[in-house]
Amino acid sequence: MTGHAKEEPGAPSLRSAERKILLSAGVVLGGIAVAGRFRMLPGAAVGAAIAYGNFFLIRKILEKAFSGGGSVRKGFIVQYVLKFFGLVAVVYLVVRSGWFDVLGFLLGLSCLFLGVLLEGLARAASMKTK
Amino acid sequence: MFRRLTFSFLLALLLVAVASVAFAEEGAAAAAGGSNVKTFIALAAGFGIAIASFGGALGQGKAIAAGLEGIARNPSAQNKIFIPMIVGLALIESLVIYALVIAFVLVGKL
Repeated sequence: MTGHAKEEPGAPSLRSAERKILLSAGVVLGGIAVAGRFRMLPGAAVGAAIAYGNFFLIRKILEKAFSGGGSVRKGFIVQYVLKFFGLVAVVYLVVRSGWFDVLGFLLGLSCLFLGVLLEGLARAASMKTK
Repeated sequence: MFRRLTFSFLLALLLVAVASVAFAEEGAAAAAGGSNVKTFIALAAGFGIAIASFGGALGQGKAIAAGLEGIARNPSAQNKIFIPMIVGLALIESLVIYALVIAFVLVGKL
């Protein structure tokens, strides 16, 4: 383990995946706005925020856990479980409150998949051009 | 082979058990003149989240085990293994969250 999983040139990057997730969130929100389904917008925004936050927290927790130069911090299990419980609580509140459209929320959550797909495509394209 | 047979037997037993309960409920509901939709909604929510969490846990466990084994064998390849592992964990977890959302929606219909 060499520090905080530093990104080598040419190595896959998590920050760029995060940027792609934000980009796909923008595309999804824009698509919903263009389609004129404004009722879905808040749900999609919340879903995208949760997807991004979940990815960000997973990265932070695991990077911190594996940054000990060979040793693994044991506290990361507690942090990971707490993050999961927090995520479940937020999802419960969003779905059961009734303030947000559930379909929009699911669309927003899909930004994670779209972002990772975009990142994979971009990486494949850059490997092909090299 | 034996494991597969045992698994198939247990699965068949589970299906028979669920079916008998469902049919019993159907009979009771029909006798009462009511609907048993709520029973099936509860079953769907419960089984849905159970199957999703089972699969997610299995997948995450496999991903972490394989990733850590790879890092232990070749510590210099940490970055190349670690980053796809995190991406995989996030994807698996979001699938479970999808199932959770669907389960909440179903429970809201009870």
